[in-house]
Amino acid sequence: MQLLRNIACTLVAALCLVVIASAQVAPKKTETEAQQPAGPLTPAERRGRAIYLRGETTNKREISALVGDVEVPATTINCAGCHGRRGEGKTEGGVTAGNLTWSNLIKTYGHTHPNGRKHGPFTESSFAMAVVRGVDPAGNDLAVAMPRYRISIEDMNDLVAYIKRLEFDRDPGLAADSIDVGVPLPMGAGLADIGQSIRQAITAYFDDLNSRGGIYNRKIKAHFTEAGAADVLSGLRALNNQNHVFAFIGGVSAGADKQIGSLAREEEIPFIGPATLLPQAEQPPNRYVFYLLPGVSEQAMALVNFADQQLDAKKVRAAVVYPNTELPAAAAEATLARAEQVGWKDVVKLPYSAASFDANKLAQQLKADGIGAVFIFGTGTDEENFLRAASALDWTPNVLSIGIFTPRTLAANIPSAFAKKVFLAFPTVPGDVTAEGAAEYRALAEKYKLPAQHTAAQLAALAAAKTFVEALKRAGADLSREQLVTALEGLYDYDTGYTPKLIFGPNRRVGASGAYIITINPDTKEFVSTGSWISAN
Amino acid sequence: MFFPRISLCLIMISAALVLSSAPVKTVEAQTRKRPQPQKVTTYSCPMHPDYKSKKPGACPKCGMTLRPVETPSPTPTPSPATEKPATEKLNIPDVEVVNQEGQKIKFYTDLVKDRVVAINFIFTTCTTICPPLGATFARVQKDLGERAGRDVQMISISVDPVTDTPERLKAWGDKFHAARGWTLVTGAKPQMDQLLRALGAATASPQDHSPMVLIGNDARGEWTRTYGLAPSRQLVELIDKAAAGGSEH
Repeated sequence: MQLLRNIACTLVAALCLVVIASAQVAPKKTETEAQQPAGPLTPAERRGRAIYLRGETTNKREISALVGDVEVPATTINCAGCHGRRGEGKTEGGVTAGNLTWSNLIKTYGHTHPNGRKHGPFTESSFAMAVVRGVDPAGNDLAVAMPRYRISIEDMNDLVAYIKRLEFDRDPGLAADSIDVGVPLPMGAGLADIGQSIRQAITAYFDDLNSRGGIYNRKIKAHFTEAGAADVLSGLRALNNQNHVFAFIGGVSAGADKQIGSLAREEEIPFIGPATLLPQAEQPPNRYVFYLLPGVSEQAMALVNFADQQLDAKKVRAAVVYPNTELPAAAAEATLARAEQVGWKDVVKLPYSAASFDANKLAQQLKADGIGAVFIFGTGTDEENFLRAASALDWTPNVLSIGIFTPRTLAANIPSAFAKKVFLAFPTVPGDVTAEGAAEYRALAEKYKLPAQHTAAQLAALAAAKTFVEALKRAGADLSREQLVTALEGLYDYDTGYTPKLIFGPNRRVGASGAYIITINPDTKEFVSTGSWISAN
Repeated sequence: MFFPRISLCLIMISAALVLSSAPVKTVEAQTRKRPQPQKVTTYSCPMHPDYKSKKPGACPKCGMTLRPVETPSPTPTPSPATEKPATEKLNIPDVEVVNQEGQKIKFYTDLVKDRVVAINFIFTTCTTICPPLGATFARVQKDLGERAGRDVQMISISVDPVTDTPERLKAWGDKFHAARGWTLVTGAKPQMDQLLRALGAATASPQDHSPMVLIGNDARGEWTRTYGLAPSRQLVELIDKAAAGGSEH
């Protein structure tokens, strides 16, 4: 029996040898100690990194993990999940995953584990044996929670190459004394001015911060998208290829929200505070994108909450009227979804095509249907015409809309019958700029000669930069993108000084998710606040 | 290509030697462990009854605190395979929970009452022990075949209900092809805390949750705790036993 087993094992070993030997081409390496490598990752290390972090291979044969008798793709159970993105190891549920940094693995005096298991230092081949067979250099079985992996020789070589680099590998754009960030400036004709103002404000903010020592001795270097780029997305790609940024901050993503979201997710680049009217707030959320201000959907939901709580709209029938274009349709969809959540019955949905809008007909129809609350997301003067038509019919329902859909002339032209009957959602109001925020901006503007125009765009960019810096402080000196994301998720009621207070969380990516509800005083023709901030949830 | 031929050859041979001598070692270990003829207190892991130690401490397999076990007689204990697992009674609250489809359901009435049930405890942002727990459950689901959902209800309960939305549970379950008969639940924190406490799975922090699987037969009121990272066939065996009431073992 014993003899048979020996023969069988030798055979298996010999077979493995043949397989491995046939793959031997590279020159023999003699280095035994981990030396701090410099420069960007080699192609092998990059491939090894994808295996280590995500279980992904470019090989045709996928890597799989065997947990006991269960085989799953290595993408489900990857190395970094248990051993940490930096190889530091961790303990969870009584299971300890060891430290995988190469300098630890090859300690000359070997390892003694808490349960008494002992073995000598790892080598490249005994490391491979641990991954494939689940045994340590002394032949002991590893802990039961460590899967065995089916992995090709090529992938194993890549993995070993990266394991040696692991402890020195920092996220792109991050160095011991600097952090590179990218700022997407608005593209397009006529926006160069705004872009220039944002650029100056951000540069001034980081120069000021760096002159006071930076964050944990790291200076922040901002890189801006070039005005020559075709659009924001290609601008961001070019910027990242040139400079390898640690994070994107501020600027705009409007028009390319989905693609920019995918870019952030694919490259695992945190993006803090892109300005858009359509934040991608899907569930589960895109881990890497953090919006500061609400889009039309969040504002529409806040409108429903306001109508529900303060206008008792549940008791009347509501209608949602909107032209069939992207932003109004998004607002209408959110309104209908939220109305259903709060239990409104029989909400009327009335999409129209912009060309065929007839305010008189609409007012007559809605009046006949006994509608008591009208959500109207029309553009141009649609809303104004509707108010006039309704007023001519002596019919004054509550009319709710969002500031960006409303013409500036509305305050001046509102029929007096609609006194305190028109409610508009706004993402931010002048009162959001606190005394401290204003003082800070004034000091910055004076010291760095910031342009007097486009202050709103400057403040929005500064709010993003401040949120980023706050998260950097909380993430600590041992920084990584993952820690930055976790720190951002921990922000609760964070006051930038320029925006409503921000709340993020594992499932929350719009910091100020809600709206201010403003009404119009027909006598003074002024906007009047109805009270405090209304949350979207 | 990092495998110097000669050193690899040596490794292979030494590995072969170690492997071949391993069974002998085990036998020796068992011989040494045989209890002395007087009454002794040994320490054993609640999850791994086959691990015994003379000193209190932590289990090397799962890290749980060892519990003292009185060994009054020198008769060898039966091997764990033929031993009937210890069962316990549970008082399961009928709290409202939400499944991975976002539907509100009653935990006891809709998932447990009069059924054979296997429950594990997970959270979707867990990268360490939860993926293996999920993979094991996936295999159990496959092995149960048509019995999953019909005779046996598999449940994954979130220990982090604040983060785990139904959408997150759905995405997590999809990774393991959770199908009919495998329900993932989350809910409001107070209700989930009550449920987890009743099932003996409450922890202060999700990171501390144990890889425990609870298998039971509600009609008989018999529940067993087992180690969720054990081979899936052991779980299926325990489910079979629970279904049969454990009487013929």
